[in-house]
Amino acid sequence: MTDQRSDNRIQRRNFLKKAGGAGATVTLASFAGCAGGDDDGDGEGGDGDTETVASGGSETVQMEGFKVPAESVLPQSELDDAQAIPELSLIVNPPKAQPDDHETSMFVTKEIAKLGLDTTVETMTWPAQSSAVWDGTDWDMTFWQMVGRPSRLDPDEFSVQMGHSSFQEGYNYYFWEDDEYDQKVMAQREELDQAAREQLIKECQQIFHDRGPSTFLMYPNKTIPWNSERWEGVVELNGMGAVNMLTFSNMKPTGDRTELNIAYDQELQALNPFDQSGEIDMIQHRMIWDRLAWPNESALPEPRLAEEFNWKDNTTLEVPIKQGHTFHDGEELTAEDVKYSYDIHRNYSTYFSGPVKPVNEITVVDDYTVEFSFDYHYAPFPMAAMGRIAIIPKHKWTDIIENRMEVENPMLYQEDTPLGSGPMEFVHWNASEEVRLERFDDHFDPIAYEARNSRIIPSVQTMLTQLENGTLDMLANYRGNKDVLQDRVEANDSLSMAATTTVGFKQISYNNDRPPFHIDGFRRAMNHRFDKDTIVNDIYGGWGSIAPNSLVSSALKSWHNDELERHEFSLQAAANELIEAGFVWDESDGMLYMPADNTEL
Amino acid sequence: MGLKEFVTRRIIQIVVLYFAIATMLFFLFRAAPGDPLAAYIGTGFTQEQAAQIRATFGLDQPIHVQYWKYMTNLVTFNFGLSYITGDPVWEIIQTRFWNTLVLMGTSVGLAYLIGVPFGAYLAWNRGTKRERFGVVFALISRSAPVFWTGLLGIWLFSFKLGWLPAGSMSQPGVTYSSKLAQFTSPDFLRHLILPALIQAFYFYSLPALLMRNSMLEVMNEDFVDFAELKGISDFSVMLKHAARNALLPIVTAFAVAAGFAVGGSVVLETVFAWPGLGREMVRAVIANDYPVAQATFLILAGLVLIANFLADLAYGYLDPRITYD
Repeated sequence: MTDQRSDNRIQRRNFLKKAGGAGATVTLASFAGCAGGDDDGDGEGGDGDTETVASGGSETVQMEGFKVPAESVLPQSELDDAQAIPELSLIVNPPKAQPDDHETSMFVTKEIAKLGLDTTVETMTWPAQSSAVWDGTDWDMTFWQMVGRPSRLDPDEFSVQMGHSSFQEGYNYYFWEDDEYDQKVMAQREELDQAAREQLIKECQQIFHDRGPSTFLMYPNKTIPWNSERWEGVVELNGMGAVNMLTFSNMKPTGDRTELNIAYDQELQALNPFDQSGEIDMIQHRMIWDRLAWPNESALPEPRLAEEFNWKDNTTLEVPIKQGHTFHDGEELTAEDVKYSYDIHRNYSTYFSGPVKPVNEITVVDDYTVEFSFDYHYAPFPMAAMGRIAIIPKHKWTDIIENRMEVENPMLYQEDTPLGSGPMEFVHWNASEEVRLERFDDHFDPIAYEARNSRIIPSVQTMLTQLENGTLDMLANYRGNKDVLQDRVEANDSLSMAATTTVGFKQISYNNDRPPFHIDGFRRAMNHRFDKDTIVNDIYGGWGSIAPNSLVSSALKSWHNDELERHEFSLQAAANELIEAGFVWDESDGMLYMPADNTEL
Repeated sequence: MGLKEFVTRRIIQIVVLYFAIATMLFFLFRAAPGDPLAAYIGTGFTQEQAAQIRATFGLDQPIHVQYWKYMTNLVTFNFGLSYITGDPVWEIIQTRFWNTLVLMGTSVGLAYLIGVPFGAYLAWNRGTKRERFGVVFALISRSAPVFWTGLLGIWLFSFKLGWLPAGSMSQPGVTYSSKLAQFTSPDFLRHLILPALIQAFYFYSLPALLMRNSMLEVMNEDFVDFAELKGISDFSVMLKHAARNALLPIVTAFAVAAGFAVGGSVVLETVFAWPGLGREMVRAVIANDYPVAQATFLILAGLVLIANFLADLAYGYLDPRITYD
């Protein structure tokens, strides 16, 4: 754990010494002369000479790098202990796990401290962080990352789960509440008109941006290298990058290569149709098990196993499915299998129980038609549920659930030979080594190669060497230095690389249920302490897009609100927000205090 | 105390120590921060659903109940289910155990086959340039980190020369009917050469330097001078008289090294994408997958205890002067 507290204290003491040197009694006048404007050499706009101070025209005091009105600087005797702001801690994964995230945290906490705060960076492994933040309330700020997944190509998942107040036991782990947001984000779910739905999503983004329960840093790029001399047909899916189901459905060998070898850097977690906890599981899943829907190249849902999505009325969706399609064991796939697949998620706790909650009934109309009835019109259903839920063989899983499960949850059962109806059949899963799938010749959308071998290669260097020497055809999740990757791809004529902005994001969330983050003005001030240009371009090497405070990535062009104004990186702007919110500074050491009338929730 | 009594006493000690280690591991892992079921419980789970998952793994029980269950299961070598995959721990460990055993067994075997004669050779050539060069070379090999020599080996033999594969246990897509079929296939053996040599390059210096020191002591003994005076060839004196008597510390070192080696080398297994126990141990610890982490540590502890026990027995067998009192 790195502690900045003592550094900050020392800086404050120096400040006090300088102030004291100007006169025996620290007066406003002596304060004004004791510290120059923006002397930290970071190029930040905030020297107080050129920016407006929220002083209401009264006399101003020059602090370190910003000015405040005289009435916002108080002697210790006029400050209550309850107003004191304790040391603020930012939780992040260790530098070994996430070096750039850690460096960003160090950078950001120093910038925040300039407002007169004690800050520290607290490193935790992911399980510890998850437990502290997800299950607990005793935290101030946390670094957090969400990755792009097909279901997230519809903004509903992030917008509702990370913004609606009813999800405070889930993804809204930062305890944010806004009635107007709640109302609008639920209204978009029920909106039939696409343009109106997009507008509601944009309004939600504006509210989120203005109130700032989190500060978004960037929408990272997904960087995928592959052997373009041997393979063609890679699809760069908006928001997902080159590793997506369309790529593996479209790829064709240019020569006599018949097997596609892909590297992942971590072990597959499960090959269970009800569990998709890891990034690596995602494509294997979609190759083995069909879905009713898939995203198209514009990231909008399209029928896959379904023939069409037929909204009979606002709350009834009829879905005819492809006729004559079979599972890998030759048994025909019918509407009964579809209903059974969805019912399991409604009856057990699985990864996809959430998206089927609005469904109140599933009816088998005939062998090839199923009908979903909803409690309300649920616009995101095609992407959020139909694009995610695997269609499983009822004839196999009935037996598993009735006779074979050791624990009462199908999400925890691992089939020896996972059986689906997707374009590839399961062959073997050699633990920590390889998953092999082979082409299912009877699929309605057959693929052009015979097999797909997903290799687990934890070392970035080894992975890259195997790509260069031709053992591998694609690196599905390269996490090494992207500049190095780019150089090596450019030096090798047989390789290509795609860098695509994803729907995922990196953010720093505030515990909105904890002082001083419960005050909007404080969070808004925080937003002015992020030099996102430096963070994205220097720390992350430019491998991502700078994010406004929006849950919806700029990769989703029709949903993203382009009109959100970026928060200026400025000490003065941050100070102005604090002044507006009634924060004050201690005249003896320049430390920040909460407004006297707003120290508690 | 006779051999029988010694063996009985040591077995009791091992069993007590083993259960003490098991207890320590149980409480240490539970003291670690973080929810072990973080991988499962997340996306929109209600409190009720989360509780259901916790109950599935017995994590809703009081700690003493969990401990009792864990210890009683341990007697039957039931390590429980992985919190991450839901698979029986024994199944997870078994496959990786054999992978590591073959790799590390080959490395340790090679290291001792090369290191012991090399050490004897250095001692026999004491004071020469060959000895000085040999000692420096051994120290360099011991100081060079495996991740560096490993990457260097991959760069040279896989990337530049194209002689050997750059990691993994087999070519992509190859299916074997059994572990034995895999381990005896030419494809596997080709994949084994580079990581085994790299690890052996790191390991060999220990027996080499130990043997050198031990030999230097033995070479001062009267029986060596006597053998030389009898006109026996240098080679025979070194091999049959000096080296044989200098082997005792090597036996102990070998037993302990073999025990530890089974735990795998995380670095080697990572660099060479070798699906072994070391990588699994680290993954389990990072992911708070207690059952798997506990089991891997227990296996490692058990093997080290047994190896030490066997070394003690071998010591007494090889040197009749040693008694079990």
